[in-house]
Amino acid sequence: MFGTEFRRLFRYLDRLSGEPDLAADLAQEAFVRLHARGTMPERPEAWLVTVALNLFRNVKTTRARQRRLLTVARAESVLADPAPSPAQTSASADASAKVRVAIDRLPERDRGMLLLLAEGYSYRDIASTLELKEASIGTLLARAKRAFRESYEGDTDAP
Amino acid sequence: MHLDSERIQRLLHGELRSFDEAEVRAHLTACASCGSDVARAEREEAWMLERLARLDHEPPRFTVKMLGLAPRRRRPGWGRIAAGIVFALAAAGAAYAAPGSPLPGAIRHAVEWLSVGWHSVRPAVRTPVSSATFPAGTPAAGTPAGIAVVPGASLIVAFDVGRVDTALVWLTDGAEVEVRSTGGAATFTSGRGRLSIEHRGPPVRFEVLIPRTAPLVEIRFGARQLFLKRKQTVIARSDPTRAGRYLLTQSSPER
Repeated sequence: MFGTEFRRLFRYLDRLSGEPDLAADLAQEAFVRLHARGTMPERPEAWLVTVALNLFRNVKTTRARQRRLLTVARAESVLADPAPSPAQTSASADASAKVRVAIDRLPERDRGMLLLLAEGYSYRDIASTLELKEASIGTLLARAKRAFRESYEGDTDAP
Repeated sequence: MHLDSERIQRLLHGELRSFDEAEVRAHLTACASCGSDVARAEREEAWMLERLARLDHEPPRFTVKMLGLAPRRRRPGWGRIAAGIVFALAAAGAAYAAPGSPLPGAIRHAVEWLSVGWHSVRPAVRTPVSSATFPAGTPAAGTPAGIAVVPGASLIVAFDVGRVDTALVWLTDGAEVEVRSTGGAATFTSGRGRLSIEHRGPPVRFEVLIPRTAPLVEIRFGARQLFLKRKQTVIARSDPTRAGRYLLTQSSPER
């Protein structure tokens, strides 16, 4: 199970956060919690992604609090950041950044739905993870896809 | 009546119930407009998936065996405590009865000291500890700690270990390089192309299992390279046992 689920969970968290190290930590922590739980949940893949998403939300909340407290320090840090490397300014990095901007602009629900769908989670798992009604997942997905495309094309040239 | 977006999406993702699916597919054979909508939805999905894939990074090389190192958050029950006491008593008994064990002498001195007093106790003579030997080709039972990584194109297994730690190395038909410690407290760190093992404390033996298919695996003790597997060739600083296993120590001779 680890072999298949870890990759999927990592990729979902990586796409969600844009931080591979954080994604690896959160995915690993979710599996550690599953191990510590002692018994297997009814739908372990849904359980894992729900735990991982909650962990990610906690990290975001903590970071937001720190940002509010350390606004000045952060501003100095940003000003002191080094210039981007050639690799970062390559076409590949540019394409990735465009997608990142487009996906980050979406509401959390739309973003979560699209990323879970992309990893092959079932409508049932998507509904339980994001606390939505399973019967309307298809309609919400269609809207989220449209919103993603508009967000992407609003920022860049049409594909 | 045309297909709504809910049904089109469910059709794409295999989420229609069987009777709904039959109905939807029957409708699609007769309705070009809905067929066009489904085709457009498929193109949009492919476009989205291609864009999302641009966000991907390479996943880390953790495996499930690493999770075995994580502490379980469970309080010890009475059964566990009792089992621990029994185990400790058994270990103490075995240590007392072992030939050459310094424990009987130490206990005798302790009893003398308690009964006669500090000044009458003779200085204790420490029995020199003999170097550890291992049965050729027999991995130790039990694996208190370990890690497994995919070897990739090349992998360096770097031991930063105590003075007389040893590593028993053999080739397997598996797909991962496994490193286990047979006791003590070792720290395993996996990075790109490198697996570092730190161990401080009583000497232990490590077991290293290397896939025969691994293209390049190198084992180092500190700065010394003691083992190298390059494709089908193995260069080691010790001769293999009859079972084809290599016992590496820091004192393995230069070859």
